[in-house]
Amino acid sequence: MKLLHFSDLHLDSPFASSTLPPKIAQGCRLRLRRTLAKILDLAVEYEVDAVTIGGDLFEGDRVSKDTIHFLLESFSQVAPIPILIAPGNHDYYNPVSPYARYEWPDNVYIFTEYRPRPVTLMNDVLIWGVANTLPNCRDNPLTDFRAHPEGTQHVLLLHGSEMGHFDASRGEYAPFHLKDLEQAGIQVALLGHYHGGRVIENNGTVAVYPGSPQPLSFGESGKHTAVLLDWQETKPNITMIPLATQAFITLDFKPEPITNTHSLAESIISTISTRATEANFLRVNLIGEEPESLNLQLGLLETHLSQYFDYVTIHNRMRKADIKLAQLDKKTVRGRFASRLKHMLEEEPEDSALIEMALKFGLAAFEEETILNP
Amino acid sequence: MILAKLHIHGFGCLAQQEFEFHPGLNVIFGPNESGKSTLQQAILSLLFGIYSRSRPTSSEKQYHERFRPWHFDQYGGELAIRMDDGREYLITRRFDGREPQTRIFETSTGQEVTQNYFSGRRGYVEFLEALVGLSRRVFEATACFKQGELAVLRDDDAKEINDYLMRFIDSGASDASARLALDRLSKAIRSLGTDRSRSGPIYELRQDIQRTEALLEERKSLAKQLESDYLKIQHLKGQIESLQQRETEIERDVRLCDYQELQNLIQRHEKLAVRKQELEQQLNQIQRQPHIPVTNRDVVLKLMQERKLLREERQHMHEELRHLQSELKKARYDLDALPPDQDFWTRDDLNQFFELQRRWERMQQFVDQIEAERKALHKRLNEMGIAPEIESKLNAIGFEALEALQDRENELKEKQADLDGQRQEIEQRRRYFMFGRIAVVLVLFISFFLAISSMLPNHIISFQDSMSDAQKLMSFLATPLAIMWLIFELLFKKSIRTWEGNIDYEQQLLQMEQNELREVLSQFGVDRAEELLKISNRYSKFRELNAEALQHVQAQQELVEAIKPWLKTFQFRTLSLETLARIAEMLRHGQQLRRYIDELNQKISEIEKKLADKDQRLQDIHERLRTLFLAANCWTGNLEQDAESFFQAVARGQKYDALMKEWDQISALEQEMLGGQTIEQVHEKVQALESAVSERQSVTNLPPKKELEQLLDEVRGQRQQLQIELAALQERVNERESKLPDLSELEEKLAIFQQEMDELLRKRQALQLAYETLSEVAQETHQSLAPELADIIGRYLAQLTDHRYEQVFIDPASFDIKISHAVARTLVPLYQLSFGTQEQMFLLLRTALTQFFSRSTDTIPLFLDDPLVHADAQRQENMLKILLRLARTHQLFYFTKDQSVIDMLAGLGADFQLISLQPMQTQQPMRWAAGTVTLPPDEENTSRQ
Repeated sequence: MKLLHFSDLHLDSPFASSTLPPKIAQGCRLRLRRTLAKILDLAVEYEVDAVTIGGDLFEGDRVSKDTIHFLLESFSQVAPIPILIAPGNHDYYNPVSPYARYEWPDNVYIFTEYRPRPVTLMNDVLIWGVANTLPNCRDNPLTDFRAHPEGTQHVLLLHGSEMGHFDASRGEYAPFHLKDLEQAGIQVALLGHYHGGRVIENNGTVAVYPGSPQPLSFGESGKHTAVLLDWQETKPNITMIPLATQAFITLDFKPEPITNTHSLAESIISTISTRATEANFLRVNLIGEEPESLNLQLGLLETHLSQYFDYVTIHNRMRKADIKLAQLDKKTVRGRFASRLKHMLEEEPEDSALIEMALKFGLAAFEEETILNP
Repeated sequence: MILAKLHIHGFGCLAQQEFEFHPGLNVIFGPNESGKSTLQQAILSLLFGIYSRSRPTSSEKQYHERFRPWHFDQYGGELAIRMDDGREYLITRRFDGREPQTRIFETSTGQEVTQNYFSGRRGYVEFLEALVGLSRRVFEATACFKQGELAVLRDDDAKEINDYLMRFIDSGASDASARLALDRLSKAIRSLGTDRSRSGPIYELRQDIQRTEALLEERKSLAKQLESDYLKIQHLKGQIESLQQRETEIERDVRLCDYQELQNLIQRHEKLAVRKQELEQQLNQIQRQPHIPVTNRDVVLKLMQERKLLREERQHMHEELRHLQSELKKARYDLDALPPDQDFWTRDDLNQFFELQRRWERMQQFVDQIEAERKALHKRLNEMGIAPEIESKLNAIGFEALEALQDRENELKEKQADLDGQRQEIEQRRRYFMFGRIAVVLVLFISFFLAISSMLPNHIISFQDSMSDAQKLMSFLATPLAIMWLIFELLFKKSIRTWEGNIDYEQQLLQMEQNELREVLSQFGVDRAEELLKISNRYSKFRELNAEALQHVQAQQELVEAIKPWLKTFQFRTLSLETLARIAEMLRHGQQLRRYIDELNQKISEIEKKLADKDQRLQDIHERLRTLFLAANCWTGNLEQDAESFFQAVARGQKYDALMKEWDQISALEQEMLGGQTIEQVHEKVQALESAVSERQSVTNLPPKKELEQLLDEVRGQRQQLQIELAALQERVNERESKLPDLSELEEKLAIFQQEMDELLRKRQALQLAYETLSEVAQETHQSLAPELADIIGRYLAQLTDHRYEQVFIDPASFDIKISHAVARTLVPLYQLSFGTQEQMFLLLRTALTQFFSRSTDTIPLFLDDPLVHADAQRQENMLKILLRLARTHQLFYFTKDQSVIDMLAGLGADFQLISLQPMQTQQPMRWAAGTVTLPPDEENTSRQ
């Protein structure tokens, strides 16, 4: 038996946290649709027996009618391949959810209860699906659950937080532990919620997080895949198929002594070794000491980098060169001003960004007519 | 500090050259491209090195390459310096290669002291910075005068010096001051706008954020409405589904009803078939009878009924006839019992008796009435006491005379009344007269008073004056008035007397007449004529009654005569009301009997006539029936029997017809029941329905089909209604969904706005921090540095100005410079000084700044690169004189290409070192001997030499 599993596609997701401009964000959302199409193509190509979706297929509070119709059409086109959906915390099931309001194709099965319910896929394989029915289900859905009958291959389909191998700061949604799977008699858990893909094995139980098929913000690390499970005997071969065609690149860059913006831009570009095939979004944090020789033109730098990346945002965190500050005579007002702010920096390191900026503005006020760049 | 010697191995165009410098003024003369600037840079490079402490910059690298010797291998030099305290150092630098090398030796000991100072990359040694506390940048900014810099000052621009000073204090350079920087910061803050601004980027962003948040809120509200709509849709769908289920059930029940109906139909059909068989049998049994129209039967029936009815009526009539005859007989007998004979009752004048009777009764009443009146009158007269003989007198006097007496009496009464009225009139006139008299007396009294008032005292006379007019008038009128009154009074009294006399006379006459009348009336025993008249009227009445009674007696006699025959006929002897009443009664009775007899006779004849008619009718009926019965072969002569037979025959025919009719009806009913289909088809339908209703066959209490169909219509109607509702709701949902803005897009826009806002706010905060800090620092610095700078300037001021000015005061706030005049002891602002003094002050200021920024008290040599290149000759000379004075305390290096400067200096007899540079040639130092101009000796110069 073959299954293709994916999760956390987050169709119609916003990209506000990454402050992507709306048009670029819209492009990302369209890319997510193409990703779904690609996943379904893979399902057909690999002749899978079913496609399982581990939740967060779309953003329930904002999914558009157009997207739903796109899903309906896409799923119906791969019929008769069954598509099993376990709603997550973003697309949780309730009477007004699109899962309830629309007529889904016959090959789509949507789990609707916050407890494992079985669907027989093949003679000896049962898929136990759990649906999130609230945006924040906090109880363990596997409490007192025992998969039955014995002797059958039991596969769990769940959107939840495995507590033990991931960062707890993401919050607990349908929390469970690996040992719960073992106690419940689950051999394979097809999961969703964490956006970084990972396969965890423990005492014969395999838990698979495919990750989100596309990264959705800066700071999302890990794999972005769909997972192909191919049962040969009792244990499946697991293949993680990378899907990401966009990348969110965060770069902390410390400029060497550079005299011009062009060199700086090229230096940044050369630092970035890998890029995605379709879209790359770059966030550059300039850190360290500002080269004395560099007259930084942020706008120019952004424009230059925009020729290589689909979206660029630059945060200038460089501090003024000490030597430059040292060159300021302490007897002058300017020199004393710089000293005072430096002293303030040492005393209030938490406000360092503000103080650095104040220092920059103050010194610039002595030299330039226009302090703020347009 | 002074620069003593310089040896250049190679630096730019200079190579293997040695210079020995004057401790005062050194003039480096040469045309363009002779190496003047190169020499200056060489000195600076040897003093400070090429590279700074930090990482080498590209400009430094360029500088390094720029002065690489053109034609020689060695790149560097040595510079000997001597501090004010006598220490001497030798600085050697080699700029060959990428890493220049620097070595510093203390000349007196010959030891290398490089290690005592911080060494950096590329030959950087922090030697001079440590020695004098000056960086190259500050040194160049303060100690080096660029071309034409000294000619910057204009005649009226003393403020420029203050600003220049402030700029140096603020930034260590001549281009920016704290004030300017604060202005720029303030401008930048304003450009961002404040929280209360209604323009600017912050305000616009805030507007954008508010707009976007409003859209988000709107979207949220719309989404909530949609959610509610979705729930409603779900609910409606549920209701529709349950209605559809109900509909299905009802349809199933309807089918069951149909099934049952068809079953019933089959049963009924079977029953009808059975009945048809029965009818067929019966029809075969009944023999066909001659056809007797039903109408004949009806006719026979009618005739028989009529016959029966007639016979009964006939019988009733006979009985009534007998009764009438009996009554007639009785009435005749009663009539014969009355006194008059039979013929009497046929008379026409019988009613006359009643008239006579009424007349007699009226008459009798009238007579009785008259008699009663007479008696009453008589009694009344007796009561009044009127003697009977008065009547005769009254008869004698006559009614007219009595009326005349009454008239007379009335006249006398009127006269009396008139006389009484006149008397009253006289009394009233007397009263009026009295009032008039009183008034005249009053007027006379007042006149008298006024007349004697002239004899009163003066204060009353003045009162009198005011009343003089009245007095005069009164005096004037008093006398005639009195006279007139007297005349009047006499006349009045006379007329009154006359009148009273007449009245008395009239009264006497009247009295006499009244007495006469009284006498006449007393004859009749009355006091008044009216009473007499009443008595006369009564008597008249009495007489009238008597006369009338008399007339009625006659009439009564005539009436008696008329009544007598009647009495006789009815055998009465006396005439009385009772008798007449009795006769009247018998008369009425007889008349009644007579009429009754007539009625009876009439009725009897009518009945007899009817009987005859009925007999005739019976005869006709008999004939008719005979005819009909003969036609039906039922005639035997006994009508009843024949009718019976006739009806039986008719019944048989009817039965046959009925059976046939039933047969036809059943056939029609069959067709109607089957509705165009055959019974076999019905059976097929039943079989088809059997499977559909198999589950509910056990249900026996189904409501009627009509009810079910009605219910089905209702349910369908409800479902359709709900579907319409659902469709409308769906449309509304679609419309709302179409209006629903993209949430992600809004959130993204908002995030970008928020980010930009945070950025702006951060910038503003940073600008405000910079502004506040700079403002604070500037104030503090100015406060602290102004006195220090003033002190430094003051040290050289006296010397430079030949002790004309001794002290300097610098305002910390504005850096206004004031110097105190040595003699006048007043503080003079800079702008009030002469231009030349201002120039001196400027030079001194620059020098003092150099000192100020250095950390030692050593004087710093000054480099002037053709500072007077744009000045005129006079200005040049003035400035050169100042420079010469300055040269007493500071080592100066004056670079120029202008021969006139040298000539001027020579003309001034200045002691200076001339260094002439030729392009690409080795130069020899020259000394110019002292000329005719002798400068006053001073200690500093002496020590230097």
